[in-house]
Formats: sequence, C-alpha cells, structure tokens
Amino acid sequence: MNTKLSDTNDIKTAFDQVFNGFTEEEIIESDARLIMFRFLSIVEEKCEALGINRKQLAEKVGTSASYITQLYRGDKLVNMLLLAKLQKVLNLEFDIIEKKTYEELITDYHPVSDGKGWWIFHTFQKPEYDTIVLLPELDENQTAQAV
Amino acid sequence: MENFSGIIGYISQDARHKSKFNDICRLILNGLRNTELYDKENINERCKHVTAMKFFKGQENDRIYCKEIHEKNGLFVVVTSELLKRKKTNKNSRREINLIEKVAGYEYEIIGYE
Repeated sequence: MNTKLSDTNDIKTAFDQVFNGFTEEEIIESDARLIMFRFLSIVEEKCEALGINRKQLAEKVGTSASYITQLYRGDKLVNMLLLAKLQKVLNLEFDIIEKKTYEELITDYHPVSDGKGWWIFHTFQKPEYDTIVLLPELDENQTAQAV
Repeated sequence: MENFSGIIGYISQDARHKSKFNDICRLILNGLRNTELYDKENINERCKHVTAMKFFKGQENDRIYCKEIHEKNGLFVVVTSELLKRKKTNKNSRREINLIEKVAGYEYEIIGYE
C-alpha cells in the first residue's frame, strides 16, 4: 500500500480536527477519566499478577463486576472510597506525584567541560551527615544484622 | 490509505465517538493498561503486533484493528488499519480472525513525523 505525501497531510489534518475539536468541559471530563485510568491500570496489572478476575475483585470490594467494567470503559468515574478499598484488598498503595515538564526535569542537570567535551551530571541529594541515628542496643549473645 | 476515509468518518461521526477515540489514544500515549478499551489481538505469533481499539463494548461493540510498530530509534507508532462494526461474539469469529491476519500482513513505512 503506497501513501503519497499529500495523503499523509490529509490524514494529519483529519486527525488534528478530531483531537482539537473538544470544548473546555469535554477536555476536563477527558482529564478526569485519564486520572481514573491511571489508577485502574495499576489495579488491572495487580489483579493479573495475583490471578484475580473482575468478579472476584468486585466481591472483595463489595461492588458488582459490571460497575467495575463501567469504570474501565470510562462510562462512570471512580470514587475515592472505592480506590481506598482497592488499595486494601490488593495490598498496594497508590502514590501521587506531580508530572514535571521537560524544562523542569533538566534544571538539575549541569553541563561540565573536561577539555574533551561536555558532560552532563545529575545532582544528587546530599546525605544528612548531621543526623544522628541511634543503633539498636544488642545484648551479649545477639549479632548485628544488616537490614 | 484506502481505509482512511472509513476510519476517520467513523471516529469523527459524533462527539461520543471522538471522545472514546481520544480516551483510547490517551491511554496508549500514557502507557496505561486497560484491556476494556485497547488490547492485543495476538491470536498467533504472526499477529503479535495487532491490537484492537474497542468502541462501546456491550453496545455497538465496534473495533478498530491496529498495528503497533516499534522503530529502532525508539519511535512507537500505532496505525489504525481496519474498522469492524458490530463485533457479534466474545470470541473471535472466522471473520475477525481473517481481519486480524490481514492487518498482521500490512507493512507500513514511517516516512516522517514531528
């Protein structure tokens, strides 16, 4: 199948029209579903690892399999109570981080020249040398173990 | 290209279809797993790069079969290849298997991107 360059421009224009034709409200709704899908992606991977199907998962969190399916399809939005229950039954903990822009990510990188070229090093967090950590006291018969 | 008008016409027919397509694309671009909306159709070794975008399961149950292409430079492309309206059964019928194998046989060359 051969595709001419003019055809590819037509394809790009058509897809651009699809992606750019959303109202502000639709964009917010789409963002809300994407946030939910981030949680559900973790849930799906965890369920697969544990060998739990959707029906079993629904029973564990006290809801119906069809409700969970509606969430996965983006037809309904998840609530925080269900997320908390999912955490508990799947023995996982969701973590929230702010997504950095590329510019923010590279601010910690400092180019350094060594005469042969430029090297980029990533700064790392300095250890807290002044922090005092008390070692556990051992009685005569105990041996220390690395943890 | 011969399937382009059918696929773009399907996606852009109304806000509901546009929104679903947008959701699926965002899943793919964010590397999220959601087999209810997008999943591999690797019915055999030859079809391991064929996937399906699933539109309105339990209702119209339409599919857009895609081919995932992993370029050596790390570029990842998903080509929407074939539209199937009203998938009737949960398991793949002969009709769907033929379509999936057809998509597996398509060869695409990535000629430019932004």
